[in-house]
Amino acid sequence: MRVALAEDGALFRDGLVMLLEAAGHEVVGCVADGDSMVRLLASEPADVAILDIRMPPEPDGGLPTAETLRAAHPKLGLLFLSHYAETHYLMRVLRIGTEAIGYRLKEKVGSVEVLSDTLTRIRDGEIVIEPVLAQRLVERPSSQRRDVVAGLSARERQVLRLMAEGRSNNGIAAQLVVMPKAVEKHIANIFAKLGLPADAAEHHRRVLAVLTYLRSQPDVA
Amino acid sequence: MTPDEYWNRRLDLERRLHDGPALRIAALTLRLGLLGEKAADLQPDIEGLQHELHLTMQELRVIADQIYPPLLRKQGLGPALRELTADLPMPVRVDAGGGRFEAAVEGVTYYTVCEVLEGGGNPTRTVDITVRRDDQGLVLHLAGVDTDQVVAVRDRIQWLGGAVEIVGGTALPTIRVRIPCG
Repeated sequence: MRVALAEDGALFRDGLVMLLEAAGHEVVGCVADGDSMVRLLASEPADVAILDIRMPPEPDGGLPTAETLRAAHPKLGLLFLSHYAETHYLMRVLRIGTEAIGYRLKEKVGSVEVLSDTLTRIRDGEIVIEPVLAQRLVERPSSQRRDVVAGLSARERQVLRLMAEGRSNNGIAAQLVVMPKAVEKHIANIFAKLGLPADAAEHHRRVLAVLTYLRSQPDVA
Repeated sequence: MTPDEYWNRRLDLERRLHDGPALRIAALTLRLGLLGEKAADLQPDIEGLQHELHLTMQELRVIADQIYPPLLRKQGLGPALRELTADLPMPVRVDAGGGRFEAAVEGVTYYTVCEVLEGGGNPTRTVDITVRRDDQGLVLHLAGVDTDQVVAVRDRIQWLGGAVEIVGGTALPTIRVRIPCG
């Protein structure tokens, strides 16, 4: 896979290039800020662009860079590798797109398998969300949503967390060692209890809907 | 030390934590991953070490938030207060207008909310947090909170030349904070 990388911390950048190459990926370019990334990808095609959020241009250069890249190259996969564990940034990323996009913590991609799995899923159009963040959204929802989530059974909460990581019905079934039919039934129940329209065909939008719902706050600022 | 120097020092400490140890630990997880490629039999041990490093990073994130939350510095009071209050047991409404303020003003406002809410309160009562700018500076209203907590935050507010008072009576106990700024 052809990968471009923008990260302003040299130590992390160099380590990631080595791991990407060990995984058999081609690093088409390696830059330290968002504007250089936009210039690089104007001439160099890539499958996935890896972006740090906290890099120039200030304050959070990865986000505007991703918006520019998505507009210029709609097929390019975007992977945010961030130090931030705040759900604020996850929601900002999901507003940029819900397909061929990912958000993972920097210290959680340190193996060839995890890195390649993350990149492949993104290239194939999926959404990949750091499990620890998905879990927090489900298990500690904003106070407005706490009551509805409390209405879910333990099993439904498990399914919801796996959905929020971006897993397919079959993926969830495999994790829980149940039949896909059972997962479909849980999801129909979850949608009904959360008051979401049941449109299971739209896998990625479904994740976004769930996450946004769990996180939603009166947006008055 | 002036309040500005004090708060800028905290900002600087958070930045150093991010650019130094945090980045070094993240890079270390990548080097451990490379090592695992060379020595497949060590893979389970390496995954264990990487998990320890992830926990270390999570602890550093908590400490960074206590020094000066990166989200506050980057995005201001609205997003930072929403992140802070999302996990609390009581319902919280955050309405933060007025744009950005100096680091010292935003820092004092953020930790004022932190300390007042950490002091506890009625878990069923909705807390209303409002931040506004008027011609003198920042105005913070904390409604539906335990107003006894005001003693914990008064010194810091006064150090910035600000004032804190209790308004709203028993029907809607409210802490009002004013901090002058340009």
